[in-house]
Amino acid sequence: MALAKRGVAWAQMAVSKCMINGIGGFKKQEKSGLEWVNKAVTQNYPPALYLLSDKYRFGLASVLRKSQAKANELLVKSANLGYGPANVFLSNMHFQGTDGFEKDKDEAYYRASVAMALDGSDKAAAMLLGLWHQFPYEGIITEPSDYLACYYLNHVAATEDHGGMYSYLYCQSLQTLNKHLHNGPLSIPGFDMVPALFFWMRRSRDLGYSHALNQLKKWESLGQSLCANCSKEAQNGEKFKQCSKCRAHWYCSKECQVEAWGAGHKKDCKRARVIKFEDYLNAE
Amino acid sequence: MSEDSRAQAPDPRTGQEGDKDQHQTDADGIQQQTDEDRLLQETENDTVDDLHSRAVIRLVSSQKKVGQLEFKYQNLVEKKRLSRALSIFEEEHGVLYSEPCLLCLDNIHVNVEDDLTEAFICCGGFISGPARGIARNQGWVSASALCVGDLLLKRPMQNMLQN
Repeated sequence: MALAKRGVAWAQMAVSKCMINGIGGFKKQEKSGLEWVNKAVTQNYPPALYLLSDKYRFGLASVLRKSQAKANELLVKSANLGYGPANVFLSNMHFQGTDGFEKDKDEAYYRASVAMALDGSDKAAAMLLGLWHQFPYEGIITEPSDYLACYYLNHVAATEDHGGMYSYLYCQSLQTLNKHLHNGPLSIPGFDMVPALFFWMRRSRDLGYSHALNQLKKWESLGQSLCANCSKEAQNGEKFKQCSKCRAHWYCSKECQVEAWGAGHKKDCKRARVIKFEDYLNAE
Repeated sequence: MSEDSRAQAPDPRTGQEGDKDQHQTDADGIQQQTDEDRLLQETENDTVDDLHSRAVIRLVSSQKKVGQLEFKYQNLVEKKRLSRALSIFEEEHGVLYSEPCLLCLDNIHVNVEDDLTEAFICCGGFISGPARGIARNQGWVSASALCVGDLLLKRPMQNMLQN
């Protein structure tokens, strides 16, 4: 509070957030909170501009009326001052053509790229760029890349995947890359992506993504019915042995398992747990 | 001196290098021959299935290498594209505001993200994220570089901000 009174912008914004939400030992007092955020805004502090834009967009009980025009003006100002989250939000608005912004795919791509370039690790920007490479909607990216789809989605999935959706999407992008690399699905020991696909799909399921649960059930029932080495089909009720390390392949006999291990499954098992995409791609 | 006699005059150094090259060429030739012989012997004993699986593994291995190089190239192009986008942004909207970190003296774009810096609640100063990590891990600082206030005071405020 002392710093806020002294005119330190980030402290004014912190006090404002605490007052608006009634946290950190402050009573909920939205009007005073708004006054503090306005003080930070007068100093052109980008996070405060973004916060106030948000308050104008959604309104603040009886204290602040919704105003899309004012919200957009503050958002653009914050984005133009180089605030990453504002650029990502603006990119989303232009992509969807909502909240008073024109649908403009070039501007959407540009804003997301700026946000990514600003600190090199913006997860929200990586998420947008990854999705646009993975699903080239309306040609937003003229030359979508399977590698960059993997790279960006992995950046989100590996660090901040609440709910497991990005592990699922990364898993999908790996499948697409596998098709791109080998002109179709491929499972040759030593070059097999299946253990890695199982790893990411399980991670997605464990984080609570329901689509991953269904997909995993399908893959497991398919895998259990076929020996991964000799392609022998399981007879009624027959249970094949599962690789205990990657739990992605099943074998009809110990001999098949040993043979596959020597032929290259050992490498696939080890590689499957590599989290970072670059390291995975370059792993032996 | 005639043209012919000049051409015949040997340079001792050239002669040595020429000999070396000759030896090298001979060695390469012998190596190539033995490789070919080995391959021929291998292929003579192989069945069609063996030949096929070996060819498939070679193909897949080269596809993997191509993939690694393709990613390297595309990643480089993407990095250049991003830095070009940032240059255009700075041309349009002015150079990004930055302040030097009090510890590492690097210029930090303080307004880019909330978690790029750690601000001191004691005096309002800040240090960069990497400098904070290093300082904490090494136990170098326990006080603000500006006012010698206790850095630990920062934690409750940061937790509040995250909420």
